[in-house]
Amino acid sequence: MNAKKKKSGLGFDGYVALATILGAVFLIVDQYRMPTPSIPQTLGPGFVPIAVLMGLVFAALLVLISSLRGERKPDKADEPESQTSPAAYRKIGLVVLGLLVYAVILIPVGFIISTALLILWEARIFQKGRWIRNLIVGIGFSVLVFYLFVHVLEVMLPEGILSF
Amino acid sequence: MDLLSNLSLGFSQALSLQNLAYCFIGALYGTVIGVLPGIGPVVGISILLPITFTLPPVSAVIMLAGIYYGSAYGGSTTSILVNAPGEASAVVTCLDGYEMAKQGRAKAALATAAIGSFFAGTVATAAIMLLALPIARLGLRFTPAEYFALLFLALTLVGTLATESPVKGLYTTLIGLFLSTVGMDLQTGQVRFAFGSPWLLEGIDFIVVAIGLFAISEVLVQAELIHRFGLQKREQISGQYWITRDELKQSFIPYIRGTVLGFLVGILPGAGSTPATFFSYAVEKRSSKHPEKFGKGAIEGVAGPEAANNAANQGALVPLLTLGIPGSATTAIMLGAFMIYGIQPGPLLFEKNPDFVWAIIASMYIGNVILLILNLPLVNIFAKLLDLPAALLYSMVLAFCTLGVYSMRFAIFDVYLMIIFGIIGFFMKKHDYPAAPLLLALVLGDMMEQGLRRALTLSNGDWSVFVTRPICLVLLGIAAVSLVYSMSKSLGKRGGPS
Repeated sequence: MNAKKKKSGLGFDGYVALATILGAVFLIVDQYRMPTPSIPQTLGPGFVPIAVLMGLVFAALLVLISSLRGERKPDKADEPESQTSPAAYRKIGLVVLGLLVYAVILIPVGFIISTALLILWEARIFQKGRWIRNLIVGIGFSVLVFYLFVHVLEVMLPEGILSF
Repeated sequence: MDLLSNLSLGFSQALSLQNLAYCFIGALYGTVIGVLPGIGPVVGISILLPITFTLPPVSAVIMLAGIYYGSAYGGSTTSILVNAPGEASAVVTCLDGYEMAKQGRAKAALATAAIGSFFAGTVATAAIMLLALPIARLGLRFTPAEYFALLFLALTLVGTLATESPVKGLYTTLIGLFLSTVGMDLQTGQVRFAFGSPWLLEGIDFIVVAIGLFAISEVLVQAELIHRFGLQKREQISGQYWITRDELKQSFIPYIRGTVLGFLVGILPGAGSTPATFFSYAVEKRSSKHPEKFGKGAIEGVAGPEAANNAANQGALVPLLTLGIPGSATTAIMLGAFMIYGIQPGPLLFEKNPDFVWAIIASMYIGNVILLILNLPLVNIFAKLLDLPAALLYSMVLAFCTLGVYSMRFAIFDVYLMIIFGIIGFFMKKHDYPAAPLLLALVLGDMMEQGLRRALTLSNGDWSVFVTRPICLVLLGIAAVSLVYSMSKSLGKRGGPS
């Protein structure tokens, strides 16, 4: 990805800037379509959002210009030693996947089981092996936190399939 | 005397058993998050916030303040023993602190850091005490127009001066301002940018954004770092003495210089503690008779910056408490927390709730004593935290983050939003987009908009109010100059042939 980026001249920053400009213009149009509020206002609810979005377009243009002219010093991601390798991206993707699955199962499955599973899954990404240790810590952690939140702090947490 | 009676009022509150307990919990928790790599005060406070909603406001703020200044104590432990700074403000301590640890002088390095932090924390709290009332009285004369100008200046300075790339700082500031407009408008009830989602009606919560941008992204960065470099080993705490009389003597002048420097830098919005530490290190190196020893285990190189770090942290509380203006990501989180508890920091706070303000100030003296005890004789216990396997540490951080976000209003929607901000934050870190201005703008955006609209309502829509009032004109003038200066410098700068 990085090699391609240098050839095209429009790097990460350039794409970010273009996407921002498109998004901001869309939102400005969207805001203009809003009905004016019935309460008379010196400055209506639409003024600040539109001003901020116009400022954002301007800032994105500055990012785009400095990216195109390549005047800023190369950022960390351009240096070969800090380029994210595909294997590292895979790892990061797995961490995110674990979190997403956790968000999906948290309520139906319940806090204790899903949190123990999250810890088991995420710990495996960071370090191979040590299943038994991770399992014990995962279950111990989630039971302890569940007890602390529900019975001491009186914050409700989903019980899921363990509710009885 | 005014000051003494206020202070005794504060101590009478801060010394209640309950408040002492919360001060201790805050200091302890602050030390822990300071020691743990990758979790700073922003994340530590954000995760804890939802479960503090039910506490009495004084206790809650005493605890948050403890976390805030306590994390600076803990941060040095990690720098000295692992050479892995938890925060940017602990980078400098690595230079000589880790060298000292490698030479078997870990104890002396830890001791000078803890004593320096205590010295700076205590002296700076006294300075807050002296400065707070005069500044708050000045603030009383501010109208909404001046407030808007002051907030605008704080945002401009944080966005453009305190970052490596002012253009990107401006960009993330505006993204933060935009995010602050999402949800229902407070004055008219009109819904903005919610796209039919009922969860967005109340707006985007800064806690979700803070945990995503600062914690989730950090775990993702660590996943990559550990993948690439493997796990790091820590140095052992060895040696017989904590610190010799000579070493303490060498540290003393750096403590004083670091404290003064740090406090002055800390008061300015946008500067924060990181430049204060670098500044202090440079001063110590320049004024040393043996500058060649720096980087090879010079105790002054730990003493000065550690004092500066803590003094800057305390200094940043001055504008926060007296004017309600945060100058960094952490103080922005603190401001957000204050508002959740129904407290509006600012000049009126000193008028209306002096007991509240002075209880917090008094608690800082107590907190610093607690922290000195925690971080000197008991530092061994906290160093054990560094032996916690990274795999388990980061898994638990992810679980805690989700828990913190979910328990705010029991919405899985917020968890998804947190994950999205986590991914965004990862790329922001990789491509040098500063996250602090975004968070600050998100917290301040609403206040700024209300200030602007109120100012214009008062002036019957006359915009000249921003240039005819002298304080306004000066504040906006500085903001404009710094904006134009940093943009032109950043765009006009020609990089190398790379």
